Amino acid sequence: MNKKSLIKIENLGKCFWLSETNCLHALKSANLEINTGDFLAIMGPSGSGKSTLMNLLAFLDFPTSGKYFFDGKNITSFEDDYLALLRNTVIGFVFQQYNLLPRTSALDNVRLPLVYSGLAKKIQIAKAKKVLKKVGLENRMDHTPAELSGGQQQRVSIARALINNPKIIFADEPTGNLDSKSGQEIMQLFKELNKEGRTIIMVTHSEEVAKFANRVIRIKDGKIL
Amino acid sequence: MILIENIKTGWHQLLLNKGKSLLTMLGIIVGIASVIYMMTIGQTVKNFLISQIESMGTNTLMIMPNYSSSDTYKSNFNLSTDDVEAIRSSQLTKSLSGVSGVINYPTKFLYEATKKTFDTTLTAINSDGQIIANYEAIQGRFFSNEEYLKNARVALIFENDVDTVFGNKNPIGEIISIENKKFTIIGVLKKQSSLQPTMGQVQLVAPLSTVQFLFEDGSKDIFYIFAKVDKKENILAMQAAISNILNNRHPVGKDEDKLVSIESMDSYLAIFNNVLLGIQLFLSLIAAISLIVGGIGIMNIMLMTVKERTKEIGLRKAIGAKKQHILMQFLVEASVLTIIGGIIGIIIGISFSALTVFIVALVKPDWNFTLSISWLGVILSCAVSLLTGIIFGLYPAMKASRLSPIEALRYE
Repeated sequence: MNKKSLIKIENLGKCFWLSETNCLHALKSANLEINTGDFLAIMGPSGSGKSTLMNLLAFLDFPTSGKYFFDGKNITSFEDDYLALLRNTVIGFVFQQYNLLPRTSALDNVRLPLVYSGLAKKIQIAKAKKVLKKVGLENRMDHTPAELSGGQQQRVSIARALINNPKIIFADEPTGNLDSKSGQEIMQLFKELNKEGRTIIMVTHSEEVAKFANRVIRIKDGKIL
Repeated sequence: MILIENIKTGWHQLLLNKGKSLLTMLGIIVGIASVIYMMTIGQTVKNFLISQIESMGTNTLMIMPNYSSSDTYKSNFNLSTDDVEAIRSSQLTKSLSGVSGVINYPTKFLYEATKKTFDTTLTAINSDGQIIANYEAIQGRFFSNEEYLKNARVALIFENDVDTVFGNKNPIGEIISIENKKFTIIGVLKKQSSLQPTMGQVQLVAPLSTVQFLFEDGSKDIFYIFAKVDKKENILAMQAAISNILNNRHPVGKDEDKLVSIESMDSYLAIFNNVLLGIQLFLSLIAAISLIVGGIGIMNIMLMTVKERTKEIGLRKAIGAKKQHILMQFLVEASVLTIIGGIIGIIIGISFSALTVFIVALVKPDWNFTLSISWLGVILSCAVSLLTGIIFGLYPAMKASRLSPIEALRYE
């Protein structure tokens, strides 16, 4: 398997200023390297800083210290619109609560990221159909989230994450809201995506779920153990 | 196109909660409806009044003693039929299609057949008066210049007074007596303006010479002169020419004001037009105040929407929406609300205007009151609706666009 370095962080830190002099170190000089094709699980108790780490890796937040190399490129600009562009083009998100737009068809939910990349609607729809087929929902394209089961909704959100053909998929407790059977199915889907060569970074506190990953890191009090 | 997606989302949101949306739009609806009503009724009334004025003759000049000057009173100045003849015979006034002196002589007349007496105002003019005042004889004829010169005892009556005086008898050839002098009715004139004040009197038209000879002891004095210019472009030139002739005939001292003043009907019309436009705009402006109230309602509801949909904003940002995308989305949503409100307002405004015109036409069928929609008002209303959406949607939309994706996603 190709073991090219995809993400490399050096002494990456994040502090939230509580007052002018007092800062809360949510993440303390973290070092980590993630290779293309990894299936990484980030584990840790709540408040440990695992979400902060993922937010930083996923371009949702900016670090206060350290360096972040993505695909060999040193990310120096953490300006809002630049981060939005990165989120739109190189990564995909899967959330615990699916975060699908209500009263909107699966197809329209899936093509939403492409709306912001300004692609023609025809291409958006063609791509959305393709990824929906990939997650096994080709017969549910016109259904709204309310008409889908939890597992199906999470599949829609995985399809949405895939539509940009991202380098990495970030998953934040993807099975947290699902029963164990649907959870297993979703994890199986992630496993398959990983086998195709997709890099997956997943936050979880379930050992059961973490078993699907091929690499686990643990975090506690803002430090990678 | 992302704009189309935004409009779709906005429309979706509106339909999602029809009752709430309608209440939100109410301020805009009322505001736009009032503006449209004011503009449309204003336009309708204006067109009506102008058509009434024009029916009394366009391109006309009114030549009067200069009543605004005290010198006029001091010199006891009056215009006379000699002045009329001077104007008529001048080489300078070729562009005049008619000129006549005028006396309005209030008196009574007796209809010989029924021995009934009527109050009247005799409008005394010469034979040019028909052209100048736009009189149209729908029965019989107007008096000729020969009759004028011979002080013929003839008179014309307006169609709306025929029944009052003559019942269902043919008025042509009937005899009336004015101050014991017998006059023959030779024609019926078409009613000119429904706004002509009649004060319950019967209006008669008679030759000026006859009236002067019989009732003014042969005096040549007249109240004013009116003249008609052949073309609008010649009005100023004729005004100057007549002014020249009359000021030569009635010279004044160096420091004294001129004795004659000349006004054109069209200049009155222009002033009248401006005054009406002013009133129309003023009323519309008052109506527009409710637009501000409506706009604040929109802002309120948009702030609520942004709060309700924080999570959605977070998601959109997480999957790549830039600040401007979110800003546009909520601006478009606010504008969809105000524009639809505006369109409903326009429809209501025009409907009410049409209803008003319908009622007026029912009550006063002889006014020929017709609806004239102010398209300027319609276009302006659409623009104002859009602008209201943008102005009052801006703050909520900016608030939405500035949300941090992490916090927005975490929002419950």
